[in-house]
This record gives sequence, structure tokens and C-alpha cells, in this order.
Amino acid sequence: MWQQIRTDLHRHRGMNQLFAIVLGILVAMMYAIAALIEAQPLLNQIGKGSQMTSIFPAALVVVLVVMMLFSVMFMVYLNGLLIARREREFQLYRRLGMPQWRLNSSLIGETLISGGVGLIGGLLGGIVISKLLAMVLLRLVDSSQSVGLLVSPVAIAEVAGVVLVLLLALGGLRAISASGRDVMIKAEASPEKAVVQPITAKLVIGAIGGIGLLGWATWVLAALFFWTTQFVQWFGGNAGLGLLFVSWGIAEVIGVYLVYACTLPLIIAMHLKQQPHLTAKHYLWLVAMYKRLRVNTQSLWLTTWLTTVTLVMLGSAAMLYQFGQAVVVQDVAQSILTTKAGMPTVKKQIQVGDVAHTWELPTKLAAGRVQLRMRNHSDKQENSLYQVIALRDYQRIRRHQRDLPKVTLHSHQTVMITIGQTYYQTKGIGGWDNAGRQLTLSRTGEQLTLKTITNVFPLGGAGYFDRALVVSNHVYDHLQAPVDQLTGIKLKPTARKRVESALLNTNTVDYVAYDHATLAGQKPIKHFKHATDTTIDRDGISLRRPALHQMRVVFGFLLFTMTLLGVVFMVATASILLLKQLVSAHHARHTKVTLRRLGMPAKDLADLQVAQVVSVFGLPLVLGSFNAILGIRVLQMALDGSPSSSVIIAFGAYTLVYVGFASITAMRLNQM
Amino acid sequence: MRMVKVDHLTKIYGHRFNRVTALNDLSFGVDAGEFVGIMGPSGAGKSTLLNILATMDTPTAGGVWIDKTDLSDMSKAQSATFRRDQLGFIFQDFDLLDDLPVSANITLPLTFVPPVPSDLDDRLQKVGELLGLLPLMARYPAQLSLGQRQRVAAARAIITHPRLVLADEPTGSLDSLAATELLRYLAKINLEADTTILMVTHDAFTASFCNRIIFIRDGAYFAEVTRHGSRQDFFNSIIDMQASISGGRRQHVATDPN
Repeated sequence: MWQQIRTDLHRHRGMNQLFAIVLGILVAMMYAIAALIEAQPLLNQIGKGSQMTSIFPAALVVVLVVMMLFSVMFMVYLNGLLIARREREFQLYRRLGMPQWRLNSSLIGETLISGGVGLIGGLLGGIVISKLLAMVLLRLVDSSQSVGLLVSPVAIAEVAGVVLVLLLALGGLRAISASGRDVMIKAEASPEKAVVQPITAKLVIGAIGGIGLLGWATWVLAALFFWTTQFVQWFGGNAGLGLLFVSWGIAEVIGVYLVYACTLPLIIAMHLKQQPHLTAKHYLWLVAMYKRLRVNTQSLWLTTWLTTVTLVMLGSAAMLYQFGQAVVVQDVAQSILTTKAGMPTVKKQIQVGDVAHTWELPTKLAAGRVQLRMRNHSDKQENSLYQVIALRDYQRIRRHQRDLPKVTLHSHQTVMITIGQTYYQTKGIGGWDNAGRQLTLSRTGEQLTLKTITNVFPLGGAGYFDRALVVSNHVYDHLQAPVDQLTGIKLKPTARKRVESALLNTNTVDYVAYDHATLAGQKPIKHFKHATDTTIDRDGISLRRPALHQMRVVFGFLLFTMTLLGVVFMVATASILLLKQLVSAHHARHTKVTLRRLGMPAKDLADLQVAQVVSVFGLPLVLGSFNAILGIRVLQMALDGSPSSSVIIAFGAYTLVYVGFASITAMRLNQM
Repeated sequence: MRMVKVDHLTKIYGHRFNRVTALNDLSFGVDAGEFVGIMGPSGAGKSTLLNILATMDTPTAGGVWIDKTDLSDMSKAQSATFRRDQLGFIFQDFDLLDDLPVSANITLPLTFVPPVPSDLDDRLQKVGELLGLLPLMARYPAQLSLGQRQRVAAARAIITHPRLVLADEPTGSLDSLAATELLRYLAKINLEADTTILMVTHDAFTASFCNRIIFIRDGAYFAEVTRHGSRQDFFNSIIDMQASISGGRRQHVATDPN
């Protein structure tokens, strides 16, 4: 029997290598996470200062469980694909009289050996990458701690235990699969039907349906406010939203399937019909693609969704990481932002030579009312407290605070600055804005015309009670209202640590009246030293770096876990495509020989192969990226237009690794 | 006009401790318009000879000329071009592409290098007519009988108007009825399209459709038989010669009793 196992391992070495490598990568990832969970001191150190020490291990356990479940399901799927290719071999063994038990034990033995190699390689690789992962995690969460290789016997035992049980189960599945085969060898399956089917009404309907469903799903995401409003109007509040969500999901899932099963084959069939005299390279590529789309619709569909999910996970996590930092930067634009109340405390801690630059920003506190059009397209009267800024001060600050949008104003125009600008204006289909609305400063009766709404405050949002208004210098100078001074301080790098740690535990808060009469302009605006039912507050001293660190810990950890899951999903996606491509190339070997014999130029043959790999890998990537971009756009809207350069980096990294897998596939095919 | 010239051709496989001489100083010639058969027992070197003629293998010594083109010093790209433009192939296992319909299978060699000829449809129509394939053009190889498949391969071989058609055991996979039908078509191609055909076979009945048979044994020229009278007589001569080969008698000059 050992001889049998050795022969089979050798004969199917390509597939066994793939099985071992994929298992090895999954094992390495699982081990690295299990080892991180076991490295309690490291996690405690990371969670320090964010009161999240208990959340990190718990979150990692969840990631590990998700990864294990996915790995088990995926290995069962991969095992099924690998074993299906050997059907004829099992039939032959049984026909020649090999006892079933012998075939079963040799299959289980083969699985244990190839899987065992993957397990050992994966554990060794896991020990190596555990250090790398820990370093990445520490970097992402802004920690400077050093770390060595994470060797954890408990983690080894856990992962090895799970994988051994999995391997036995996979061997058993192989045995069951082999015993179920008919002893009689059937003739090589030959296509009863033509490869390129005639264009039928069913195909056309499916093709239009696919484009229609996907088009509608895209439209929904591109004009989300419009469609939510429509559905809410048609079906009522929660029911409408639920129905929109469900029908969007169904449209996406079926739409992608129909595009693969009908739309793309129809386009190819029509092209072939219209262009009967194509060159062999072009023609053979189209026929191969048509066949692939019809035969492998499910795997293309599955890989598209794996790509979508992976990219949404990676892209969202990267965006949140960037968003977390952008929020802090928008909140505190310089090292320190202080109000008049916080200034004495700050001055006490600052020594001569600590400050690189100081910005003074005088604002005037005024109540105002305005009729604003909301998301549901109804108007709402809003009374708020505004910190009014002169255009000259805004522009002075903008020279150093680059993210402040450019503003130009006529004499009675104003720009409102508020958090959540997407509540009041959105571009694109179903979009609206509030330009031209009249804002009245309640106390003086001054009328201002709203030009636009932004969400970036000069010196940072932490210095503002509620909203801000940028007005012309003339309006500002003539406005009778109490002045509220803000100060931004940029510390020199040498002083940062000392000043920040001295100020970190101070607690200065400003309070201001926010009652109905004040907002209506019937009472002057009044400061308070303590909170009451009708006051709002802001921090007297806001520090940027400690807040940034906090954000990095939370979102850096999220990005880390999403990247881990993303790697696993990507390995799954690429190995499905790789395997399908190798299987089809195996069947097409005869074709390749024939074409070479008939004198097809070697370059054209190579081009044909590359074109097939590019198409098969490219389709799920393009469609998956498209879906993912739409999904991330919704998140971006929900995050008030968060910056998205990190998403491009995440997509770029994914595409790079994906192209690497495609290149490996092309090289393997070339060797066949 | 001499179409094929094989001159002192030798092919040795293996390394110095384990040499196999597949062709041993073989020389013969084929004139334009001939339908020549190559016969010999298994291991005589028939396939090696065909591979060298098809530019898919190179000789150890000696040379081969097809229509005055020396095959010995061709690059891979040149030999691909030569195969495409000058040769037509018919193989035992048809070598059709299962995913293409009959029409695309036949026109395939014409579409390898752009531009696609403008008279593609006319050529397809002509070979379709010649080989009785017109009703089958839209079908796929799996939907054809074995004889029909081999006729498609024959049509593919002649659509490029090659100087020489090489057939390797073309009836090997066919029953006798289909084989007879195919051979009649090959004879028709030879006569009507004036195509030179070189066919390797081990079957005397198949060989009897040729004009001349060259027998090789142990990689060397053994004898040849030329048809002068009826096919039945030619067949009998071939059988006799096969018996001679098996008996070991070497006969350089063969004569047809008629």
C-alpha cells in the first residue's frame, strides 16, 4: 500500500503540492493569530492607554474562529475539486479488482501525507510570520515595543489538532467519493451540444436581466438617498429600508450570475456571428472564454464575491484607519487647541522655546436661524449657536491648515461649517443642497445668504460649541456679539512629550447657554462655569497626538484583523482560479499540440494562453472591484466624505498580489 | 518535378551507451502529383521519417528537401511557417479541435496569421464540395462519425493548397467502410486538386490506393512497388512484399506482375 501511496503522490504531485501549499498558508495564518492570542503581555501592552485590553484577545478569537470555519469549508471545496479529476483513475483501480479498503486507506494516507507536509510547513511558516504580524500590529497601533518569534506550544497544539481532524475528514471524503464511482469506465464525455450555442430568447432575456439588475443595484448605491426616500415613500419607514436592502442584495447576487451566464456569452456569440473571419488567436480566445463562462459560471461568480468581500473588508478597514486619523486632525489641527478658559493652564506648562508657531483666531458667538432642506427633502427650521469668523482670519489660518476648503464671499454671503454636512447637501443623482437659503442672526436681525456648507473648522472642530460661519470682513466687524478667542499652538518636537503629558490629565471645560431663548436671540449668550440642563460644552484644551494614538490603536487593530481575513479570502479566490485554469489547460493540452503541429506561430500560442489567464483572473477582479467600490462609497458617505487614498492603496496591494497569482498560473500553464 | 528528396537520412536516438537507430541512410524521392505510401513493420522508422518531413524532428545526418527547400537548417519559427504554408497534415487521431465547428476547424490554418484571406468562404465551399462536407459545416467534431471527422481533417489539410500532404495512418481509427470512403476521397484530392500525398500506413488495403509504395525496414530503404494495373493486383504485390519483409528477403527492385 505504501507503494500505491508513493505512486499516487508522485503522479498527482502538482495537485498535492497545491493542496499542501494552500493548507500551509491557511495553517500559518491560523497559527500566527492563535500565537498572538496566547501572547497576553504583548496584547496588554498594545491595549494600554485605550482601555481595550480585554477586547483585543476576544476580537482575535472571533477572527480565528471565522478563519477556521472558512478554512474548513474551503478545504472541503478544494478537496472535492481535486478528487473529481481522478474519477477515471478510481474506476480503473476498481475495475482491475483493487479492494475498496485498500483504495480507501491509500487515499486517506495520501491526504494525511500531503496535508501533513502542509501542516508542518504551515506551522514553521506561522512561527516566522507571527513575528512579522506582531510587528505590523504594533506599527499599526502606534506602539514602539519590540517583539520576537512567537512560539506557543498551546497554539501549535490547537491548530495541529484542528487540522489533523480536518485531514482525516478530507481523506474520508475522498474515500467516500472513490467508492461511489461506477466500476464501468464510461467513454470520455463528449459535448452533445455545440460549444457556442445559438442565440436564443432565453439567453437574450438573461443577458438583459443581468445588465438591468446590476445596473439598478449600481444606481441604488450611486443615488442612495434618492432610492431610500423612494422606498420609504412607497413602503413606509423600516419596511421600505429593509425591502430596499433585500432587493438590492438579490439584484447584485443574481445580476452578477446572469452577467457571467448570459450577458458576456451573448456578447461573444454576437461578436462571433458578426465577424466570421477572425484570426485564429482571436477566435480561439473568444471560444475558450465562451466555454469558460458557460462551464465555470459558478466558480467565476463565487470568486467575484470573494473578491468583493475581501476588497470591501480591506478597503473599509483602510478607510476607517485613515478616517480615524483624519477625524482627529479635523478636530485638533495643531499640537494644541485651546480656548480662553484653557489658556492659563497651557501657558503654565509651556516654557520659552517650546512653541514653533501660534495661531490666534477671534470668533464671535451669535445665535442664528435658518430653514434647511433635509435628506427626506422636507424643510426644517434650525436654531443654532454659531461661532462667526471673518474671512481674513479664515484665509490666514488656511495658509497653514491645508484641508480647509477655499472660500470666496460677497458682502452678505456666508459659508456654514458643521459636522455631518451630508445631511444638508449631496452631489450626484438624487442630490440637493441648501445654497441660497437665508440665515438670520437672531440678535441683530442680520440676513446672510448661505453659499455652501463644509465640515472643516479652522484650527479644528474641538474649539467649537456647535457650528461656525465664515462671513465677510465687513459683516464680522459690524457684528455686535461676544468675542470667543481660539488659539492653536504648534509645539517643537523636543517639547511635545513633556507638555502633552503635563496637559493630558487636566480637565478644563467651557459651557455656554443653549436654551430656547438664547437661540431665538431673546437673551445674550452667556458663559457658565458648570454644566446645567440648558448648556453645551467644549474642551478648553485639546491635544492632537494622544487622540491620534487612541484612534490608531482602535482602527489599526481593525485594519490588522481585516487584513488577516483578507489574505485568507484571497488565497481561496486565487487557488480556485488557479485550479480551474490548470484543469482546463490539462484538457486543452491536445489542442495546443494540434495548433503547434498545424503551424500556429509559437508567440500567438503563448499570447492565447496569457489572454485566457488574464480574462479568467481579470473578470472577477474587475466586477468584484466595481462592487466593492460601490460598497465603500456608501461607507464613505456615512463617514461624511472620509478621505479615500488609503482605499486605493488597499486595492492596489490586493491587485498586486492577485496579479502575482495570475503570473504564477501563466507560468505553470507554460510548463504544461 | 521532384517534390520530396530524402538523401542519406539517418536519425539516431539516445546517448552513447543506449543508441537506437531509427533511420539508417535512407534515400528516396517523390515527384509532384504522386500519391506515395510508406510501409514497413512496426519500428521500421515510419513515424520518425514523417516527423522529420513534417519539420517536427531533425535528422542526425543526411538531408531532406521539400520542393527544393532544405529542412535541415530551419529555425522553429521558420519551420512553423513552412508547416503552415507548404504542408497539410492528416493524423490517425484526426487532431480536430472539439470546441470549434467543422467550418472553423477546416479554415483554422488560414487564420493563424493575418490577414485572413478574402476568398476564405470560396475555399471552404470548394473543399467542402470535394470531400462531401457541405451539410456538416455547422456541426462539432463530437457530433460526427469517425470517417466524417477524418474527412474534415483532410479538408483542413488541403484548404491551404499545400505543396505536400502528409498522412499518418489516416485510416487507423476507421472501420473498413469509412476507410475506403476516405481513401477514395484522398485519391480524388490527388487527382483533382493535383496534390502530392505521402501516406504512412501498415495496412496493405490502405496502401493499395497509392500509386507507389516505398518499403522501409530497420530504418533503411527495403524495396518499392509501383502500381501499373488494377488495384487488386497492386494489393497482391503489396502483400507479397510484406511477406518478403517478414521473411527477411531483401529485394531492391520490385516489379508488379502486371
